[in-house]
Parts: sequence; C-alpha cells; structure tokens
Amino acid sequence: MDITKDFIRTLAAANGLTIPEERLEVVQRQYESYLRTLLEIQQLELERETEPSILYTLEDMR
Amino acid sequence: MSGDAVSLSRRRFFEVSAGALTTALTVDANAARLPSDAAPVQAAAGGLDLTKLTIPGAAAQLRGRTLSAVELTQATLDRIANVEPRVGAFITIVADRALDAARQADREIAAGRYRGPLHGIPFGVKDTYYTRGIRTTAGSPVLADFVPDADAAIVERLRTAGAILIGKLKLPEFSFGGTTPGCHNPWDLSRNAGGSSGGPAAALAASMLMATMGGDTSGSIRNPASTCGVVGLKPTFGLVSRRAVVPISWTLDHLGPMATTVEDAAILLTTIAGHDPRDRFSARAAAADYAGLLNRPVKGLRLGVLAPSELEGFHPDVRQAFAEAVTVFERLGAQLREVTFPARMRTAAGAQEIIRIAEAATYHRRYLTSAAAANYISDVGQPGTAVSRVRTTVEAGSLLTAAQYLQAQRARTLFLADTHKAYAPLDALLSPTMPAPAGVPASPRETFRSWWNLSGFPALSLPCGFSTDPPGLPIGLQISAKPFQDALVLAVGQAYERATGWHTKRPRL
Repeated sequence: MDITKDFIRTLAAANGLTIPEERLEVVQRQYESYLRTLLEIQQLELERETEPSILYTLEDMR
Repeated sequence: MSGDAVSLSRRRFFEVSAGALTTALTVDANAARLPSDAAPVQAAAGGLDLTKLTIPGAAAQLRGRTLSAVELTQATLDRIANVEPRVGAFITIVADRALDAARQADREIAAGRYRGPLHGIPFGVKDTYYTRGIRTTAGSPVLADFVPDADAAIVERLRTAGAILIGKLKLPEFSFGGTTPGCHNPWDLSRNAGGSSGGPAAALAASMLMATMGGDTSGSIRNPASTCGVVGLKPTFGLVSRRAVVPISWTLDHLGPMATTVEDAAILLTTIAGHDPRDRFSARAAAADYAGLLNRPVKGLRLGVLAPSELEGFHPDVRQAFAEAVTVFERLGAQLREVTFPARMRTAAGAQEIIRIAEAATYHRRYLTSAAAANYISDVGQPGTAVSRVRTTVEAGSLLTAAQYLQAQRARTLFLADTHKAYAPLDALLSPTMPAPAGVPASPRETFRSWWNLSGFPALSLPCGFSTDPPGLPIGLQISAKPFQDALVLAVGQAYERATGWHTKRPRL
C-alpha cells in the first residue's frame, strides 16, 4: 500500500498525536524507512517458540 | 523538579550549545566566572601538567598532600578557560561548587579521612546525567529549564567517593546521533568529536578532565572515544545503574566511564559498578575491584579477530591499524582465531534501531503531546539552527505498533543466541571501533558497535594508532567479551596499552 501524508496524519491521530502539516513529509519518509527495516526483520526465520528479549522474573516475596 | 531552577530562553540555549565558554559560564547561576587573574596551568599547581596526569598519579599526590584538591581543581578550571573556547566540550561549568567541594576534600584528607583514589579528582558527565540543583538539558531546548532535585546514581557514587563535579558535557539533542554539534575534535579542530558522548571524549582529549562519564545506546561511548583518541567502556548491561539519566532506550542504554588510560577507566568502573535496587535492570552481580584485576597476562588468552571479509568498506588506515594491533597481541602470546558472523546478523542493527526508536518514542510522548514539542531543534523550516532529527525520529517511531516492536525483540533473542555462540570459544573479540577516522566518509557493511548494545556484552575502545590520510587522526581498537567479563576486557586493553603507548599521545592545542 502507498504511505501518504494523509495516512500518516490519520495514523498519528489514532495514536493521539497531531503532527503539524509541515512535518508530515519528513515523518512519512522516516516511517517508510522503519517499514523497510521491519520487512528485513520479518524475513528472519524465527522459531515458533522464540520469545522477545524483554522478560522478567519475580522474586520470591514470601 | 525543584531546586534553584535557572530560567533559560531558547535563544540563549542555542548560544550556550554553540560552545561559547563565556556564555556557558554565565547561564548557570551556580557557575562562577573563571577568575580573571587565572594563572597558567603549570603555575597554578606547582608544575602540574594536566596533559600527563592520570588518576593514580593525582591520587598519590592528593593523599600525600603534595597537591591539594583546590590546586588541582583550579588547574583544571584554568585549563578549561584556556582550551574550551576552541573545543566546545561543555554545556555547563560549576566552578564555584567545584572549588567548594575541593576545599571540603582538602579538609577531609588533612583530617585523615581519605576516601580513596577519586577523592579530590575532578570529573564531568554527559548532560543527560541528573545533577541535583544543576541544569540538565540532554542537549535539547526541551529540557532547557530542567533542574533535577537528585543526582544520577553514578554522580551520587562519584561524589560519595570524593570526586569533584566540574561540569556537564556536550551531546547531540537527546543523545541522538554520532556527531556532537559544536564540539570540536582536539586532534583537528575543523572536525567533529563524534558522538553522542562527544563532550566527554573531547574534554579528555583536550586534557580538560581526566575522568568523564558517557552513555552508549548504539556505540555512543566508543564512537567518540575512538574519534578523539581516548578510552571508553560500555560495561555489561546491568552492571552500572542507569538511574536518573535521560534515556534513549531503556533496554539498550548503557552508562560507562571514559578516561585517558585503561587503568583510570577501571578505577572509575570500580566506583560506579554495583547493584542498584532503584534501577530495575540492575544486575545482582557483585561489584569488583576492576583496577585490582588489571595486570593479567594476555598469554594463552583466546582472542577472536574479526575476519578481513567482515571489514568491507572500512578505511584502509583503520584496517592497517587493526592488523598491527592484532600482531601486538600475537607477540604477547595470545591465541588468535579469525571470527565471522552468520549472515543474518546483518539484520541485527535493524532490530536494534526498531527497539531503540520505539522505546525512545514512548519516552518522548510527554513532549510530543505538549507545547514542548515546539522546542525540539527542528530539521524542517529552521535554517540557521543546528539540525536535529530527534522530533522526526520519535514522531515516526510513535507510529510503530507493539507487535512490530516485539517482533524486533524476538529477533534480538535470535541475535543474542548467535552472539553467545560466536563468543563460546573465545575469551575476547578484537575489532576496529570505527570504520573511519573523524569525518572521513566510509560505507561499511556493518559498523560492529550496536550489536553489543543489543547483546549487553561489555566493549572497550582504546587508541590503536593514527591515520595517514588524512594524517594524524586517532583510530580505536574495540575489545569485547562475554557478559560480566568487564575485568577481562580492561585487562586485555591495558596489556595492549602497555605494549604500544598510543594512549600517551596528546593533541597540540
């Protein structure tokens, strides 16, 4: 799909952000760059069981 | 936020950030102007040569009372007055507070209450570290009036050790970037000091300080350390508390010491390392005497050497200096083995970027959704001001989904396993810190810095030579190892340092 300034404006609004009109283009380009990076990440063959690195354990508080 | 807040207009902030010392000295209400009758460095402290002084050297004199903390602090302020206008390493200098602390240190030492090797030693911190009652800007007009009411954990520990805070050091806005606007490289003032801990590195290289603290999310301690020819350590994640420091990314940020020798860095690490229950990522690892663990022989150590095929796009002088560094370790008796990484590690920097940006966007939300958003240094329609892409980066990062962020964190798990596997047969790994000297273009396939933020492994940068084209710019060697092998990394670094002496070189200023 095409990423347009309208798309960025709408997505930002859905996330509670107002991006000023004059900033939409630079934000759009930056967002597209992130999507390209994410595409590379999605092509990695991750095991079904792979968990994210952000995990924690609770201490025994008894 | 409380304390004696210093109001600062946005325009004023830019003036300060531009690096004019005289301006910097007038904006902090607590920072006195340097004395107009400041004597040259040598006269100020009885022949003290700050370009050669190390922490143990100064500590011996302070403890033996052949040098006072006031003399050392005054000599430091004099050196800053002389050099800083050309270098631009500081945002804020707290001369009066420093001299007060120095007088206190002298009283304690005279009374037999010597606290240890940092007692009376001047230091500076990147301006992301909270300092009680002293403005903490993170290099941004967004925080131009932020005066914390508590010190960062590291500052707290350094003060408890008797060290004397001299000032806050320059960085790009909110630490975003590999260069530091307005901070000149002491080896070539027409070039940048690197970043994001550019101020801490430049202050060391210019002999304005012998102890500074930086931050490293993608290589931001090691980059300027290499670029300015000083020592910088990114410790193991969790070894050093990150409490009360303006973050980029909670799971990638590391804080660590920068110095002019490995031993000085080890002394600083000994002071700042250790569990902090108020940092939820702080490791429950016992702190060590890192300086006491130096002097370990390299003979027999299994050192990985990044294969030449991995250094595609690196500057020829960097490749040459790295090859020569490897031969030094060979002479010292290390067992060397070439290392390559799986091709999929090429995606690691991308995962690091997504994690970093998503976390940064979360931190910045409070500013993006308030009037403060207008205060970011802009990259749109603001000719004449220093360009920063922070706002753009975090605005776009705010549009990433939780699923995308977590997918990057899942990829991180894969890369972490790959990294552990690569290090399994090794004690440490050698690689160049930067692909090129300061300001020289390079197009490496991989920079070999942010991987260690993703994995949390410790990584040290230390000087390993100078470029020939262009001439005279520092080149850095990176030594990394498995988690909590910080002492080993430092010991390997010191062995190299002793065998070569690159760390003794200082720029002419």
